[in-house]
Amino acid sequence: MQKPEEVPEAVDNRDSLDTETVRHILKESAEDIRPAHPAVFARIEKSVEESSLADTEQPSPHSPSVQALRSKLRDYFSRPHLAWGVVAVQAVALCLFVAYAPVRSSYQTLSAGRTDIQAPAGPAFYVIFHENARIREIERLLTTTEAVIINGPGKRGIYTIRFSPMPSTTVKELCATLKKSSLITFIEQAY
Amino acid sequence: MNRPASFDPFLSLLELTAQGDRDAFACLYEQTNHRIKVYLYRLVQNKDCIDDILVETYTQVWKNSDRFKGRSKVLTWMIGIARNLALKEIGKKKYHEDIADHPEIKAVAIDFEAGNRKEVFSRALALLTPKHREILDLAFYQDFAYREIAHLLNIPESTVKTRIFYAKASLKTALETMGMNSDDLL
Repeated sequence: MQKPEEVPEAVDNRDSLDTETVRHILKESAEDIRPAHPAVFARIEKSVEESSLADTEQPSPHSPSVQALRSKLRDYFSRPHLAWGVVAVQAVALCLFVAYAPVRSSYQTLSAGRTDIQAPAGPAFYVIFHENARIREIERLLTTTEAVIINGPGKRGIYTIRFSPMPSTTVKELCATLKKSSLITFIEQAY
Repeated sequence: MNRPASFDPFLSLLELTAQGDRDAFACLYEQTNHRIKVYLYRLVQNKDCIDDILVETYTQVWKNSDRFKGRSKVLTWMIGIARNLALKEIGKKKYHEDIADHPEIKAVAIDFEAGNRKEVFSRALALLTPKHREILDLAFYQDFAYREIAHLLNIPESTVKTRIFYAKASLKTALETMGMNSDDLL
């Protein structure tokens, strides 16, 4: 059922025609429409004949019991209150499923349970690797500097890497060395 | 307008049709075809396809007569079949076109002394949207109750009343635009 159209706040009959006038107009204009030509009924008879022949020549592929079941189902769903009943039962079943289905109570990342990744507690850097850098080259660089990627990539391709604990002078030297690396386009210490 | 359920003059003919009585079917056709044709004409406004829709409508009536459950009057049921077929023909988009989007009513000079009133009425109706023509036909020509119309169009009764109000207003505007005033109408 569609929702009701907006009802005018004040129905002013002066803006409209009275019922008898409208009836008169419709009746008069209908007189110009002639009853269907006899040829139309001839076409209907032919169409009915063809459909009757089709029914007798092509027996239904379904057995009478299946036809009876289909007929019952058709009648069942043609009643709006019963159809809504089925919808209500489905909704209840869905709610019960959602309420009682085993769902993990917390959100976890894929790496959350891993114990093999141990980030050293040294200084951290934000790094952007060169777009042409290969994974093997990056892995080799990280291994030689004893660094581990602990986050990233971010929106602009920024990774966070952490080194082993080291003196601040060593950190500055290491940073300067990495800045010269062709694999790195950006590196800044994270605080 | 809202009348109690009354005798259905076509029910016995449909029941006989459901038993395969071709004469009853022919009689049902004779007694109803003009009303359904008028309804279709007002909805579709295309004479070329009305006969095709009529043929298909009565074929469907013949095939489905045993499925009639009596939830509405026979004519309402038949018009429902015709309506579904007509809507397929004209496309729902066109039917549901809003009155505001409808082309502006064009002024047509009519000479009432020599002119044909029926033609003026037909032209005025043609200027309405299909939705408004349909509701006027169902309410004032087919003489269906609001409840029947609501059932047929699948809309609330309040919408039927509102739509009738706007349809009558549009018809009055159309007639006035064509130079016809209230005194000329009856």
